[in-house]
Amino acid sequence: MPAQAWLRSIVRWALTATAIAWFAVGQAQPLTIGTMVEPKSMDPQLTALSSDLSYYRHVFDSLVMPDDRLRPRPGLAESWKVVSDTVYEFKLRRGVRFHDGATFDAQDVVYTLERLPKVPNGDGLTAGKLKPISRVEVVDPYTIRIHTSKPDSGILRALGQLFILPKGLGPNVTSDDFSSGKAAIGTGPFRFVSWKRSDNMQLARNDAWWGGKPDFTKVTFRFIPNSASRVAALQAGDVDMIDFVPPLDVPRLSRDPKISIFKAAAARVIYLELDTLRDVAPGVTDLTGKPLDRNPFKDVRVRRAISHAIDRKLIVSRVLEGMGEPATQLMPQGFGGYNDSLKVPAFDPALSRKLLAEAGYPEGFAMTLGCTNDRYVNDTSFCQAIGQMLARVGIKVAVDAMPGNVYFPKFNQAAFGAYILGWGNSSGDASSVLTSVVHSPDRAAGRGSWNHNYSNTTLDALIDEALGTVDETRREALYAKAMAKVMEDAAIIPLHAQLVIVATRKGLVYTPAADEATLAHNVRARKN
Amino acid sequence: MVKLIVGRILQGFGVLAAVSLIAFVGIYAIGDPTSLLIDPQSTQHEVEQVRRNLGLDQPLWRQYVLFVRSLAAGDFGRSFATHEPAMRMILERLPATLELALAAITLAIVVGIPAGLAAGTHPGSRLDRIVMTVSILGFSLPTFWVGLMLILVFAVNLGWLPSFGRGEVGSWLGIHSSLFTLDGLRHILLPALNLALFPMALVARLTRSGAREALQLDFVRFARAKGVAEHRVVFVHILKYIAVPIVTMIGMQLGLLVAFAIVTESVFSWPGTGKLLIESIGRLDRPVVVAYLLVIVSIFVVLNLLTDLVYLVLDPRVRFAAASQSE
Repeated sequence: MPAQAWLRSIVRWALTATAIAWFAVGQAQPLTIGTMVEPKSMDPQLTALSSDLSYYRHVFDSLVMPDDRLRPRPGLAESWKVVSDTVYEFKLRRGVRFHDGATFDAQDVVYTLERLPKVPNGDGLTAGKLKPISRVEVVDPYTIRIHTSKPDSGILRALGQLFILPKGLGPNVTSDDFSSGKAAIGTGPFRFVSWKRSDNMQLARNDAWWGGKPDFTKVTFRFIPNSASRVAALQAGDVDMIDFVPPLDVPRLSRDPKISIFKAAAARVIYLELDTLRDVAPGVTDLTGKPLDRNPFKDVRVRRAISHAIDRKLIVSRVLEGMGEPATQLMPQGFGGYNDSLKVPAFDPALSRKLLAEAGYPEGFAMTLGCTNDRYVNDTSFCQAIGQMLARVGIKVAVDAMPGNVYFPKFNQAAFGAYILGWGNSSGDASSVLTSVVHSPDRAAGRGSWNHNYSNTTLDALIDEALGTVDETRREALYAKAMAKVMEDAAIIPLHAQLVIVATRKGLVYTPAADEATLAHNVRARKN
Repeated sequence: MVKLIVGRILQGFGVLAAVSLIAFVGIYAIGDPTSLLIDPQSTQHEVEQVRRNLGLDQPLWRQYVLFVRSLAAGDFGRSFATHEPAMRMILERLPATLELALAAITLAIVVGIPAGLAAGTHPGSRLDRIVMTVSILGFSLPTFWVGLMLILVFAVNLGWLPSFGRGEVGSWLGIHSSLFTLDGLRHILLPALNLALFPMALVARLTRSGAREALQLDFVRFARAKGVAEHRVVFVHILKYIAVPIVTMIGMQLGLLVAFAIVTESVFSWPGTGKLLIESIGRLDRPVVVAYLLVIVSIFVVLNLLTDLVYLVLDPRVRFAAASQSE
């Protein structure tokens, strides 16, 4: 063979080898996610903040796992049944191993539940939700029965936040052990590798995961809290995916041929609440600034007038650039207890003016609207839009916008007469919003913890009944009934649901989760 | 001399006490952080328990006394949010901030002093006008905006440099820093430049005005008359004369860069203390904010002292004054 041909074949060989190597690397490509939130700890029992839960879901599994629309689906429990009003029976998945090789069985569930209330500095939240559990009965290594002290419909969804730990960790494991990685051992789709504070967290694929292999062998979360920087990092190609894309950037990003956008309705609904409890609502006066002789929000006609004066569709299309959905109720569609018969309250300023006149305010009045300026998507802007819409029916609105860290302590002191809030609906059904936002405040029973301004005994009875109903169909019918009543009373006025918006480089496909969790196992490499 | 050092250190403690008290009262005035730290769906009982755990159920003065008492034992308290020791959280992130500040001040000196000298020794020239104009931009453009523009141009459009974060950390003589790796240097260039713009402009202007002033002075005229080479006049005689104010300024700027790297750190997601401070303020995480302020004030106190000492070396007049004082 002449020298030239030799050379040619060597070159061809080299090229082929490179191509094969490149292909192999392409398959094992790591995934880098630019994320807004850094977890506070990797101890899944320390806090139940939703931002931290999304990290736990990578390393740990729960018995029951929420799907993209937050419906309970089998996790480490393959199936379950209701034995009686106070007993659930779970069949556990066989052949599951923890990342350290230990085999999963019923004793791990017992260990996990025992540690839960004893975590030092824990917020006790998941423990609180699981408090109705009176006893865990181990029938055999793969069957457990959970007994509750009274009928409780929330247990199944609450178990979705109970991340199963291996009993081998022992009684003295600390939160620091989890955060250092020593004890961050679960059965989840990824193994914990490292966590550099304020910088990044690295995970490696658990090839033996029972739920199927994720597409990426290595995943790095990089913490980029600044939204503009996050977007730039994706455009520069430094990360493969970013979460919490600012809605204003969506039109620009969708024109970029190198980027794909994925959206879904988030569980978070933004609402306007009016103080109907006190005789004088803070910030509510007549048009000249003098106090009124009674609180106008106590009159249901005034509340309905306000609801009908707000053009929700306009807010979504203009203020949110289309990145939202007008709300019909305090929950997005598809969640347990969603009432299909409810419509978006009609935008009807003439009706509003008529209602106000009937209520004795033909000239209107003035109010202050409490509002965050860094918490929800374009919060200050939609508050101002609401102010202008209300001005058209005669209600003079002063928007008082402030950062969340000032706003929420004020809210807890009931300092506002009218204000904006968003509810995450992380339970995936109506239970959380009805219990915490709508139910009258009852601290001892853990009801109405986010309600300072509203009380309706008929609704309270309805909600209590639903919470104690284990049968799903009957319970959801009760929720739907309660939702209709909330809308009729118009003291808590839903505005719109936010969207979960995620952007990736071309070639990836992402399935957004309604609770805004950013999950690496929901990312797929597009097969061509 | 010893008196000066001891006096400065005592002063420093006074400032530390005042700052911790102000931070304490300030954050207390904003409100109760409990509502930001826990899930909205918790019950009142759970809220009370969290407040008790964090010691927030105590009156303010008692909280402060408890804080000072544990401070005396070297304990800065634990973060409300992560429950980690506040000082550890800061010290973990401090190297990143320090290396960013050092890189920025080096850039500022390396670019600012030659530019200032060149402009100052050629007053009215085109070069002078360019330096003056650019330095105005360096003062007045908001750091936030410049940072984003740097990212857009160099990372997004040109793709030369990474858009955010700290690079690989190398070690040299037992010091760990991203300044020792190529990847680290690539990462630090944009944020350091962003942070350097302000002090660079300041150094350039100060050098320029100092040099202009020095040109008129007798010793410069004498050196020239004597036939000393121009570069020697500029780089030895003039530079030495104007060094004192520039050193003071650089000393103070270094402190400011460490303290106010906040904006640059957030724009470039630099894992330093500034990013930590912003997040901690956002969730009213008092132990971390107070510990941060104490660290920063300590740095200022030390830098102040060092600046004074460098003065002594550079300016014989100060040296003699200090010597006669301590006698």
